[in-house]
Amino acid sequence: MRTTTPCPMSRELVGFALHALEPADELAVQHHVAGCAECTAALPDYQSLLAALGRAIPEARPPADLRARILDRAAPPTTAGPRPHPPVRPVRPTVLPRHGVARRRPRRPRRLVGTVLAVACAIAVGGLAGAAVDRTGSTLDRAVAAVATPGDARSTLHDEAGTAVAAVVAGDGTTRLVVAALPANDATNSVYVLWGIGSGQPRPLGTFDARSAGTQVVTLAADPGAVGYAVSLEPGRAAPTTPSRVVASGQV
Amino acid sequence: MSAGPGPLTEEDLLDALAAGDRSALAGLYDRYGRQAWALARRICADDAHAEDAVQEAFLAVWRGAARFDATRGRVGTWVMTLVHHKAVDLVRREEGVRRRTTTLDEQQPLPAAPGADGAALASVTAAAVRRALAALPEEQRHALSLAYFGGYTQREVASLTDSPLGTVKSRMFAGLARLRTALGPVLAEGDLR
Repeated sequence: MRTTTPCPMSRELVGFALHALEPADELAVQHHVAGCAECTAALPDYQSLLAALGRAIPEARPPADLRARILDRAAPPTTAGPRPHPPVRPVRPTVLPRHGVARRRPRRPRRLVGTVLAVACAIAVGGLAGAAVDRTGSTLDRAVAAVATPGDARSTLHDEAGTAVAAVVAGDGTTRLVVAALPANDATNSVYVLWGIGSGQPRPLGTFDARSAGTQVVTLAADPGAVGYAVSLEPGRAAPTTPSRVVASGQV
Repeated sequence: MSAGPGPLTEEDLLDALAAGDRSALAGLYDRYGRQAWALARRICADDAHAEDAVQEAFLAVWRGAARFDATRGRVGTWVMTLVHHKAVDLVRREEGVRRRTTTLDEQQPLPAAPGADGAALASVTAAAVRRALAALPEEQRHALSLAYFGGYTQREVASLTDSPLGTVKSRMFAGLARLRTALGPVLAEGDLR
């Protein structure tokens, strides 16, 4: 550690490296690190230490087919660098076909921004209309499995209570946000915004409205440089330049 | 790179990954897969979830290799960080698969000999890590173990240990600082993998 006055966030950086902060705190530290040379320099050291803890566990032989499954899912990279962000604009719900649950269904060309697939949760995702309600986690898992294709990156977003309320599935030039448990917003005077978190300021990837029930899949702009995502609830109907109230976040 | 069991240096590996060379991904898995699997299984205590965590982590490396800044850390650290975070996310998502609270120092024997891949250096490093952990004050070791291996947030650790949140943060901060002091020289060599 340095002998000069330490950054006031240095204690929080430990929690961040441990992935042990509450979502809002994690996001705040993520923002801070992007602009703090001291924390940017210190984070890899913490990560290296913690990785050493992980490596101190006696090695174990993974399942024999895990290697092949990973290689099978490794689609050729589609980009080697950040892309410009499409303009953000509100999206409108449509309904996901009842049989749109196959994991490997061909991916149709999508607009970068503008498509929302509202999923009648248990019906579309699990084919279990009327069945007992799943916990948010497994509902979310199944919804993610329904929309993800091999090679997609998946990030779970947790609310302040630590509940998994949404997930980001990124790949093929789009970011799809699976919303499982966000409170419905008043669509006349508020809107949710998905933010990509990387270096610099958070980037708004699109706006959406959360319904009172059911799982939604919202297709928004891609952010190839994102190391995390956050959802904020904003007054008005447009994305501001910075998030005002973050309700969920997670790392890539 | 002076160390590395494979024929490729880290830079070579990253370049090949960024270029979409799947054999590089295979090489990365061969190099880190066993460690990744051990960590994921420790955190998840469930093989299916551990597989998901390892799979997602390696695919994240595959997709992100072109953007990885090698000046800010090593590939192995990146892999293990991703595995850890993915595994923690999975156990937090699944309350039914509640995290194990095992600690590295209390329940796992030291590896008696280098692993099957002959990674003697790794074994030495692992032993040093265990000694350093064992030397921590109990409350620091417990707090770090609950967070890292149990996947608990600091707030949850505070509740589990009946301690103020600020105290938990301070314990983790102090514990990592001590580990850093104890392991810095070891990791300077041992982390070159």
